[in-house]
Amino acid sequence: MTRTIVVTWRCGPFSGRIDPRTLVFAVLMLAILITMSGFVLYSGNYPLSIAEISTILVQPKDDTPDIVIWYHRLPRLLVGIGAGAAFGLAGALMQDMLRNPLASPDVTGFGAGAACGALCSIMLTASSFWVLPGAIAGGVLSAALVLLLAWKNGLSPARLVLTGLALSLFLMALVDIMMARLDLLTAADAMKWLVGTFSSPEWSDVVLISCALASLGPAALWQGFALKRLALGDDIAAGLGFNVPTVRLWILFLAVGLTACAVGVAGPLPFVAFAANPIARRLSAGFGAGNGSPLLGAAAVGACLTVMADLVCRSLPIGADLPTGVFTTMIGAPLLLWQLTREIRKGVI
Amino acid sequence: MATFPFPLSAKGLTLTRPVGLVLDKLALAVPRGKVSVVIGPNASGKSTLLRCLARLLRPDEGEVLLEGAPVNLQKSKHVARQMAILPQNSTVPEYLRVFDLVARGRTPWQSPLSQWSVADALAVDRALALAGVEEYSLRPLSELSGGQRQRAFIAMILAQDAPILLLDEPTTFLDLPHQIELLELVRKLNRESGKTVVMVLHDINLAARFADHVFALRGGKVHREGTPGDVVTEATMREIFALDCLVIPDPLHGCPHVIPR
Amino acid sequence: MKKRTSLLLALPIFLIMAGLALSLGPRSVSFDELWNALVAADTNRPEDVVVWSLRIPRLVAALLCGAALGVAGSITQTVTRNPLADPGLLGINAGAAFGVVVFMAVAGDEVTVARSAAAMAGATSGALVVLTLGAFAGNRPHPLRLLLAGAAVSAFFLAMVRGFLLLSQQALDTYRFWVMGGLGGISMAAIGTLLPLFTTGLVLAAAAGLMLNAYVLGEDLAKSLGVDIHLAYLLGLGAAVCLCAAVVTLAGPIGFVGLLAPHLAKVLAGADERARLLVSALLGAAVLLTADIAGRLLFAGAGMQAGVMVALIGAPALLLAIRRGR
Repeated sequence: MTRTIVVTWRCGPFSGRIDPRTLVFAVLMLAILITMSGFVLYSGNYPLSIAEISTILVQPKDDTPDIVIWYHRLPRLLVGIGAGAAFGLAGALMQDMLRNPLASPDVTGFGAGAACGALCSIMLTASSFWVLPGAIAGGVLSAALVLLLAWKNGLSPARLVLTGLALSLFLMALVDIMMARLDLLTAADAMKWLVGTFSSPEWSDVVLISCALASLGPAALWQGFALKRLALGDDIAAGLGFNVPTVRLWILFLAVGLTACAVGVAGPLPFVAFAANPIARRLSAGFGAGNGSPLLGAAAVGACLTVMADLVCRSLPIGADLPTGVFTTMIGAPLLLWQLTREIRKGVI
Repeated sequence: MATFPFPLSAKGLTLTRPVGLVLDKLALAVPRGKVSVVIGPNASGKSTLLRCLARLLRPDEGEVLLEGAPVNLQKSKHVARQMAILPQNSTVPEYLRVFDLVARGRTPWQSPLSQWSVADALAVDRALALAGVEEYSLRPLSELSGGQRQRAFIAMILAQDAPILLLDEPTTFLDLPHQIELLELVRKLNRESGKTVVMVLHDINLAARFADHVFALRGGKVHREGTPGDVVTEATMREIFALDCLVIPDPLHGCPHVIPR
Repeated sequence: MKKRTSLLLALPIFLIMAGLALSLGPRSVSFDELWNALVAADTNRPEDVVVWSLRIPRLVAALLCGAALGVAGSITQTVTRNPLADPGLLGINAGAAFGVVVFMAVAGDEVTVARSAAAMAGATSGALVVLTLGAFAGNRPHPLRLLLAGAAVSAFFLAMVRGFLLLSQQALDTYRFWVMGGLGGISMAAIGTLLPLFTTGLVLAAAAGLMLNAYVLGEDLAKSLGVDIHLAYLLGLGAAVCLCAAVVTLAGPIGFVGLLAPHLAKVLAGADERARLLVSALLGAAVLLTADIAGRLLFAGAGMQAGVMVALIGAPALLLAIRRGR
């Protein structure tokens, strides 16, 4: 293991330790994000030069190019960043809280519940207006159900994961049944939503996800302190002064809240929540000394992954019809696998 | 402020498991500033008792008092500043360096915004020195031997700066010299820093040598308590362990020494 | 005593269930007709044809697939030391789905041998990718990496599947029925073609099973007992891949049995891994057969596919078991 350098900072009653590599990682992620944002604003059916884009951003007018940027590309970009960050954060929270790298918010049953809720809405109402509320309601209800079923004098990770898995499988079976019962056209539309897309985001979506991140984000990052101690085992964490069941419950609430808002603006983008944390940990110093903020890293990777997927989605010739959700997996999965193979060759773990 | 003679005590502790009654209206009082050792046969409830005292387990009945106040009513962080626990099996990430493990011990004195105050740094350095783990403090746990690991964990609970230490079978997996080394360290902490120590040990002779006060458990109750001389007797060994033995004074240290027949 | 009485009850229960399995369906066959068909078959009677060419193969398929899934699940969970491991996670079901979807997009909804071949090709490719990437770290088996790689590869294949489905409504139309995992329409010929694969899988499982009791003790203890855990690991995974690939080719992706049966088997069979393997096979067969029958009982016409029924019935059962345990 290479020598790690840790920098201590003190400012009045506040203090902490930072690994400089974490800062480097943060800067790197930011750079990647800004570059990709530039590409997102640049690409599309309406050609605009970088100079034009900059002018529009600073001094918007009422012409068509401005509308394209301000009402199509920019909201889409911001929703992508926000939802990606929220997904990444939620996934990191669940995985660290459960001490299980295979966990994801799906473990709460949210994903399957949202899919079920969405399809119920589609079957019961003919309009697409109720799809989203149905999905959120379904997701929150199944998360609550999982919690109810798994709670027995506390929340043991094993029981939570198994309960969430069982309920998810049940709900996905219902989804399969509904998909088979619908007429083909409606099924095709439902399929689109199920895969996760945010093709027509509006500024209201941006506001929603920003509020969610602004309120739940800091609360989640605050829990990073507890999560690092929870990694030592329930007994030691309790001995160090944490009320472990309460902490678990609160983190679960935060993860579900973040996921619900992210799904609300971007649909159920698969894989971002699951892969952001492992990728971030392996790329940054959070793996070693544990002095970085792995949660922030996961949020950053989630945002980058989503924006990248959206970029690919809109750049490919046939991509116009394929939703972003397809690409979050197609980029995220190889990234995760690449990290795994790197470890095989390095002999780490 | 009046100090209670017993910083940690239990009254009427009862705990039932599927296998049966583990603790049966158990009562005990831990004397301040002494090394107390809990002995007893397997499944007599030793670890369970320690975990109840440490508020890791909630008994079905009865209560545990920390400085006279019920431990379950106090904030966990406040309790952690007064009582440090070393549990038996800990699944700790193997890549963690010793220094970072010990630093975690400062948690009851920290908050998310204040993670490394001057007091924290000093306490960790002191703990590393006391436990004798300075030379490998930057190595990950995976590279340490069993004895070194155990000392690292001791350093962690030392960093916690709590006046009461609870240790659940701290000598498991250690060879004899390391067992003695660890227990002498514990005794030094007690003599020099005045820490109250409660340990579960399975080796009666080690218990007799290092304890100031012994609690002998049987059937979920405290069968006998007192100094090693009072408790480690042939009669008690027979009552508790159904062990026929000879107890002689240890020629080197004077404490009772059990020799099974 | 309890175990013996439950075993004695098993046989008559099985006969009743078999009878139900053979008589239920869009064309229901009464018990007399069933008896005649079994004892003195006459190809001129339509009921006899239904029994012999549809129902009996379906019964055999249910038992065979159920047992295969139970065994695959039990071995996967033991070998990866993870009670959440479903053999589907090894990339088999997702790979098969991809193979099938590509075939559907290209050749339409023909249920031919070619489609089965596409499923098989996809299944084995998926499993190979996962095993190559994840099974070992250096020279040592690394179950966690295997499961992570499996999850990633499965997700990847499924994303491509969804991509295809969005591009081709024709594929979606057929896929959404295939994905529910059904035992209807399976012929004895199809079972026969896949029988070698089932057998290979079961033989590998038996071979691995002999070593599993030592395997769970960990590398050092196993070695002292003369058992090579590398071999056990490989044989176990090989068995799981063969069995699951066979099932998905025959009946489509049926999940959950591989997860549920071993959990139930642990309660019944206790700590002996070999007994657990055997009980998982029996329980898996029972679960799948029950799901198939329930699908036909509860839903009119052709009934509900077994794959979906298993999840609908099995999940509440698993939830109850979780609630009661630990």
